[in-house]
Amino acid sequence: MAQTYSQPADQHLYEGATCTVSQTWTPNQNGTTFNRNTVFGGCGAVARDVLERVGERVPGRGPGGVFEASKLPQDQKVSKQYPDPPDASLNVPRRGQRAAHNRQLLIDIRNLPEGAEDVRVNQQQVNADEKRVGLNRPDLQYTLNGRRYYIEYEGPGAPRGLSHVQRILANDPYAAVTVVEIP
Amino acid sequence: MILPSDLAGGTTRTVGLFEVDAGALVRWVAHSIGERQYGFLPTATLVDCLSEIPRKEDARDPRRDLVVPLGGWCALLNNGIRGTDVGPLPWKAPTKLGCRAIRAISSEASENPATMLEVYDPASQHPLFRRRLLYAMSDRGRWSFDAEGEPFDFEETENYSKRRIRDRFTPEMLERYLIALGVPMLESAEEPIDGAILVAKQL
Repeated sequence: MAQTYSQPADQHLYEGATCTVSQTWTPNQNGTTFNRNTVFGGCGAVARDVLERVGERVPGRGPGGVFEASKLPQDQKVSKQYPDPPDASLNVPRRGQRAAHNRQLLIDIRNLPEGAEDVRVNQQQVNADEKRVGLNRPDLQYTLNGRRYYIEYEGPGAPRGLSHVQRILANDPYAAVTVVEIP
Repeated sequence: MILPSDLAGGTTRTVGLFEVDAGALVRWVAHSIGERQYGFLPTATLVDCLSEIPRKEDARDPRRDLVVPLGGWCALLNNGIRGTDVGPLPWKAPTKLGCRAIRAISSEASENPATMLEVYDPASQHPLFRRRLLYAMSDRGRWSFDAEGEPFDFEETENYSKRRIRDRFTPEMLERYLIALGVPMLESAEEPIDGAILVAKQL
């Protein structure tokens, strides 16, 4: 049986009631601390804040405060040519991934609310309208109440976290992206 | 095979199957997803029942679920953007309802054909209670096949090594597997269905 943990009552998985950055929480049972950084698309100030904190060049803020980054050519091409994604599938545990990442992934999948839709693991990026928007493969993605959520599990220091966030938001500017740093 | 199939496009290509009485499933789905109401539909064919869950146009449209009783099992269909989307319900059913649950997909006519079977069982040691996953599916014309979990005795495992990937797990095999798992099959789309229940914000 997977371990369980508690989260603030106003959150589902990593969603904050407001745009939050670098909050830390502790699972009940194993005492491990995870860092999480959530970037909400459609909330340009927060995206800017996250990028500035990590010393990254800040992209321009688009119309309506939407985070703006340039979409990669291969992502543009696939979203135009093949917008219909394949069926969602849950290939867990993922082969060749760190056991700790898989463990957290399974916990998060178990804790998804009943109303989550289009839950995908390690499949190409699909937005809330269920259109393929990129060739990249977020670790976990799902839709809840019309909003698309993406979660990436990273090793210590989250060396690739920022590039994952940038690419995901470039493909889906209104999404919420969470990077979970797992020791 | 009617459920799942391409009978009504995306709405019937995926189906959630739950080994529980319809009342328990309906109460769970109605209360856990958006505090919704539920009510019986008059006896009608499957196609007529499906008219109660028209496809929604975007992710913010209200969700409507249809529960079709099938002997000791129930089929769950709904109006996701691309058709039925049962989300986490199959892997939550073993804990929430204490029952086996299945997500089954069969589509030969869509742009990305697929045959898929996911079986969830309260007795499984898998963290998601998944007992078995099998699929052969196409994406942009490329087929892939995968299998996870211990094969059931009834599985036609000799097919899994066929050269053509799409032949490794076919809709016909899926139908035989569902029957072997004890899921009653609808014989015809014209068969009158008694006791179908609609779950929605507004009935």
